[in-house]
Amino acid sequence: MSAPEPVAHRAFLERMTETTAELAPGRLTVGGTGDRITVLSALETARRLPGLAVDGSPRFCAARLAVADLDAAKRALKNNGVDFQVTDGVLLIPPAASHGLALEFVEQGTL
Amino acid sequence: MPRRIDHLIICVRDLAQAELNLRSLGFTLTPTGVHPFGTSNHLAMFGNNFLELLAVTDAAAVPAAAPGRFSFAAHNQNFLATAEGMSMLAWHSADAHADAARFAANGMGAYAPYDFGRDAVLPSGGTARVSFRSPSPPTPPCPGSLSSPANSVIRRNCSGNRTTSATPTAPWAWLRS
Repeated sequence: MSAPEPVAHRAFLERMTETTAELAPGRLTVGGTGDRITVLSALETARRLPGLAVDGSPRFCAARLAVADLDAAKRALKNNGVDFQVTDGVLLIPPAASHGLALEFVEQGTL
Repeated sequence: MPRRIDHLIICVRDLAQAELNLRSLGFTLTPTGVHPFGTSNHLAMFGNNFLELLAVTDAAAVPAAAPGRFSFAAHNQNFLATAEGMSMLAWHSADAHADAARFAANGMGAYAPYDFGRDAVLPSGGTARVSFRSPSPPTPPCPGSLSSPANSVIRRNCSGNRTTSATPTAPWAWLRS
């Protein structure tokens, strides 16, 4: 998620997920492996997802999904003419290709 | 134990086009599911959670929201007025009504529960009745919604169990058990 003040969502998300938030400048994370939610400030969102329009209001920006074979995913996407980029083991499909929600594919076990 | 994410809802204007686009990304989707409150969906089912592609397909059937009454369809209809994208996040609930009471006690919102059901098409070609009970969403300081899990819904119903869903006070947060 992107939000102007990630820490403002701490109480709600901690109660909802029944976990303790981890805080860093411009970032709040709750939940365990496979169920993690990260709230980023506009600045951190811009670093993580360059080019994504952030209008200042809280919103869901991206979802990260584990795949069994990242190379097979790359081949399938190429064959289907889908634009994507790969950085540090993360395959990113821009939100324009997935109806407003950026999708990140990572190899299973690296979530 | 930390609460599990049940599913993410991606709200789109053209469900048929979105289905084609998601298939081109490699997702296998369920047949169209039709809700009695004006929305339809396709699901990409995973091991413990799923993605839900959702569209408003019958605007006349969308119930209006009212004080104390969350309208899932109206929330998504309003979301689409500005953009497509992820409109809600659904968390799992082992006891939707107990969670709803706890949310209310914690000042996280108090919506009336609601139930709905539909006949889902199974991979075998048969159908199974899928039903939900949803005590409503909590009120967090952000927009969007947390909602109920679709793949587990179908699985549980295929195995003969009833599903329940609770909505906490964030229009973007929803729970399902």
